[in-house]
Amino acid sequence: MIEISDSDIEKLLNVGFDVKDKERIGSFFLLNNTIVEAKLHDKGIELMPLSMAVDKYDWIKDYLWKAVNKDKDAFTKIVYKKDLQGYFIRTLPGAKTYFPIQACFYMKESGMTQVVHNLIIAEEGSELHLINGCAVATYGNKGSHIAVTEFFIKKDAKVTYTMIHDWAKDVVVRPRSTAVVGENGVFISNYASLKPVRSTQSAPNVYLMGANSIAKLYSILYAERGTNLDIGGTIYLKGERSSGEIVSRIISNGGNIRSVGNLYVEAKDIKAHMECNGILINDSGTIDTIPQLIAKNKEVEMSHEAVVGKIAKDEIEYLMARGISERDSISLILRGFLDIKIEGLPPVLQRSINNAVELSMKGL
Amino acid sequence: MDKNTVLSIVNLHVEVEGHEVLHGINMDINEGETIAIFGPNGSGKTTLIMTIMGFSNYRITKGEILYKGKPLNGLQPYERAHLGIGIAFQRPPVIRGVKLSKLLNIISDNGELKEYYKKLDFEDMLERDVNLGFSGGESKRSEVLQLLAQKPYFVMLDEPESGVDLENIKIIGEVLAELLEKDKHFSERHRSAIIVTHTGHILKYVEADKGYTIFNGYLTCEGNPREILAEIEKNGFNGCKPCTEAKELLRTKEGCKND
Repeated sequence: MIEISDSDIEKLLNVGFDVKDKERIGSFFLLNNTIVEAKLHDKGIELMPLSMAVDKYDWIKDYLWKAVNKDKDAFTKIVYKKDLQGYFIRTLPGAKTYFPIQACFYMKESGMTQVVHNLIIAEEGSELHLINGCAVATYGNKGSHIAVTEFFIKKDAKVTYTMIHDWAKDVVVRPRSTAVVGENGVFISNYASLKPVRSTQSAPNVYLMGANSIAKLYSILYAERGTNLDIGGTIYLKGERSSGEIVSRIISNGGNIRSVGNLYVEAKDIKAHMECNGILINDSGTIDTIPQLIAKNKEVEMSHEAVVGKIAKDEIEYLMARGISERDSISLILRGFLDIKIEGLPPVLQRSINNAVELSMKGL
Repeated sequence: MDKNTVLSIVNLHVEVEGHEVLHGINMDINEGETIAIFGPNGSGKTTLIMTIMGFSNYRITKGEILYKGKPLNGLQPYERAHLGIGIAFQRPPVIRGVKLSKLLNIISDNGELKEYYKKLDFEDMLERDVNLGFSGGESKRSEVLQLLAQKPYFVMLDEPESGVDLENIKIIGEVLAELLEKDKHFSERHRSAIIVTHTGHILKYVEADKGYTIFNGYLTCEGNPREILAEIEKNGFNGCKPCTEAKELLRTKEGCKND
């Protein structure tokens, strides 16, 4: 088993990675730049290091770098040049899992750059839940994490992808993800960044190619002073009757958060909605939200709402009138604000997200 | 102040956003006593109870409020709640992401609430966010439920019947009567209450011992609540005759009695 301290075991649990594999059907663990674990307890699913999959399956080349453009930016180029250190997960046709596969990207060595390439293929009619926990060892402070993740979700397949980050104040994070979704396919992405990080920039792209396909991107963000988050997402709605939703809940407690969402509609009978709600706890941070709706078809229903402000005083005092102290009232409101109910997410993953929110709001 | 006076309001002047809304209110409320405060919209009724609860928008510029003989001035709302003061809001704010069951759990130190879930027809509402999408009746029932969880010694009800259908008024009224120990002899009641109302419908179920009218920030009438209500129903709030005649006088004096 992986050698990590008790405090780090707890830290990993807080980002949704259970070293005991409880309520998980498989585990993948990348320590610095070495894969130390890739195990699976379920039939119907394949999990292995991506490098192994490349050796095993000739057809992998039909997927690699087909969702993400290797020349997209400096970071994708770095990943392209590196060895394939990441996971390959494939659900076989019709295979459905209830419990998630967990993956952990863990940096123990301070000052290092972790480079990752993941490939996920959900074959027709399959269902996969995946939780990625990313963390730095409790004593580590510096480093970079660069990752490319490509998803291929085929006809009638569903993938939920939950990512909880707990980096450190001098870590730079650059994930680059793209999902391609087929007919009736579903992709749900949940991203929670509630702990300090110097800079994270992430904006997954989702291509809804098939008719009736669905994409939902949720972000739950909390930034203290010194934390800079640039978190967005683009859904390209190209399949008829497809639908997309981007929902963000943002709290700045001195940190800077930029949230850029794009809904790009080409097909007809589309429903697309974007929602960004932000709270500024103090004056030293910034929240910058940029929602963009682009329609190239008149048969669409698109909307967005964005509300940014401070915590409403009447809400705080309402709770205080029930005997709850001011501090606890604020904490209760903020926790409630970050509480997004995600449809289609297994309870165990919703619990992981709720737990991360609870922990980050403790001691506010 | 009588020895069983719970709340004593002395020459209270209150400003909201720089404008004086209450101009010298005097009122004593005794243990076990329920008083009804009538008055048109905007007269200062809500301001009075929000000030008693200690909300920051309501600034006392003169006078004081004594609770069990001690001044409340300077205490935060939660400290007042800990002293036993509770309020049911007229228009409570939505607290997104906080389930009513969670809030009740935080504020309640007793396990007796379950019987009220049924009585108030609230079993299916507990897992909803506090006040989110609540109808008028649901919102009032939720407020009453929170009061039952708190079990305050001094209860303030702000328009408990506004926006509520007759059936809901009955449900709310009966539970409030129980909370205020109306089934007991008046000498055995311990909880006191202020009921702010402009229709008086709630008083069919919760008997008030005394009535007041607040008009333009002045306490105009004091007396038998049924008589005051009958007068209001007949002649409107301007028809509180002895007070209306003395209105100018009232601006400089402390109050007016019509009984």
